[in-house]
Amino acid sequence: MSEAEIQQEYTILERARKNPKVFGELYEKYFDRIFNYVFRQTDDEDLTSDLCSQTFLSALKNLDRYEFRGVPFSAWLYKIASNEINKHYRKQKRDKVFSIEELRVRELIEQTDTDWDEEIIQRLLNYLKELPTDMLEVLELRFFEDKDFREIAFILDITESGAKMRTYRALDRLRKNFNLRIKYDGKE
Amino acid sequence: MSSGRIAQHRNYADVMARHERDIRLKRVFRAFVYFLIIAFLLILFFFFKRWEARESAGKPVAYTRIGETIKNTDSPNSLDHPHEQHRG
Repeated sequence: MSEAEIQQEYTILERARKNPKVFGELYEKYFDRIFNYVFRQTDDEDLTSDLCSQTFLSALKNLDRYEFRGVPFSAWLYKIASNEINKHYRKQKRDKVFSIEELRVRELIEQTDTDWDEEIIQRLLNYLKELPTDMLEVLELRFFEDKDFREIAFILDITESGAKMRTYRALDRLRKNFNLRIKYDGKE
Repeated sequence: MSSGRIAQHRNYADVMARHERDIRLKRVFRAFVYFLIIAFLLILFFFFKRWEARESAGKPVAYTRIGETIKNTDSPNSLDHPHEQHRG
């Protein structure tokens, strides 16, 4: 996201603080992304819809508290969504669900130089199911949501080096098990 | 999930309505808290007033009459007593 876009969003936010209806522009812009992000962690359409509404409602309620910390506004929305999801699972006393679409996994493998077939995809899908939640979280944000490490750190409330470390460990496991060479930070 | 299906869940009007309801509830709650504080202060004020009035009613009142001689006519040794005059 460019500096100009961040600045433009900030201007919308300033206006939204005075008139909440203006926030609708950001709602329209980010709704799909937040919906998909929540849906991958709930696998329930109605629940996702509720959590999504709750996310935007919380954002609207706390607009006055928002301050720019070097990450785009969307990172703040993801953070609220992540908190809402965690709150839901805490209340339900259930383990977090991660549903990773096959399409996304295909996209991930296409980023690599490795030859792949259907069997590898199925094995990878099964393998991802076994990965710990914290690793899946960073993988999801890094590769499915295209977030940089600073944003991931902000969303998950961890340090930037912690986010890098988790991603590195997750990818290292994939390398060892599948001989996949996925770009760690988009530069490799 | 397709964007068409996601669009079915998109409803900013509902979010706005919930936000406005929350703001209204917050205002009502704030007004109620102010009312409670004022009521508490009023109760304290009237309690103090009553306590002050009760305190002042219980104390003996001391007053002085200036330039007036007080005669005690009931005393048995008094010269003004009619029975005592008889005996003498």
